[in-house]
Amino acid sequence: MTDFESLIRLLVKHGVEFILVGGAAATAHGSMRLTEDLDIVYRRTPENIARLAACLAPYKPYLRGVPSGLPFQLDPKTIERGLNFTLTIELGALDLFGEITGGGRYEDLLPHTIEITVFGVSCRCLGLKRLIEVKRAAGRPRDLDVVAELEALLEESEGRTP
Amino acid sequence: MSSSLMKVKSDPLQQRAALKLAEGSATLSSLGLTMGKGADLRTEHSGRSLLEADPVIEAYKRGIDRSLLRENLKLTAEQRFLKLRELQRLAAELRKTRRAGTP
Repeated sequence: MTDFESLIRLLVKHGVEFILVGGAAATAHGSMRLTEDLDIVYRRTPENIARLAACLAPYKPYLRGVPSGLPFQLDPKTIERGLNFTLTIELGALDLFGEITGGGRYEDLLPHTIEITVFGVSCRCLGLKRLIEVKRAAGRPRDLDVVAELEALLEESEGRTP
Repeated sequence: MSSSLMKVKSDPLQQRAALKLAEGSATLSSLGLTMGKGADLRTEHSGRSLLEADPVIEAYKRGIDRSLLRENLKLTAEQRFLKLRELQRLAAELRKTRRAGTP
């Protein structure tokens, strides 16, 4: 089970620049759906990559869904060589995105974020409108009901009840 | 065509809104005015408008219990995460029960 509280607090405590996206962002906006991993878009600067790698290292990050025993090490070099990582760590399932379909990179998304306070810390969360756009852009059939719920939330929050 | 309508000639979304206006069938929604003055009606990356309803998503929306959403919107972000934690626990319990029941 993913420990959202510990993960978010860990990232904030280490000064990692990140944006909550995906199911966790949907939860923050009022979604009722179960999400089992934390999706974040991280800033791809050398400093931030170093902070990210350092804060996750004690929690034994490993690629999710691949056989054990592979020579995988989530260090700054690995993050710089790659872009998106689907990880399992001792605190749960964590997806790191350098870039997301329909949304771009950290810098592209930042103007479309809101600040939320959860578990005693503040972090950036993708705004509801951009979250819908990103989900729509992904075009995954399994996201259709997710998008429908997010759009309903947007309508409700704007007082546009059908 | 008035000068204000001429200005929107190059924007397909605004063109549609302008046509509706010309037809006398404009609504706040069709003109995008619910988004507020100066709102960006299109997305930068996908090129699709949020106001452009997708019939498939609209069909999914009909099955949504909005009263639950309204209740959830009264909560803080942290309270929503705490509810998620409860849901995670329930799902984990159900999985455990299912595994135990599997021969």
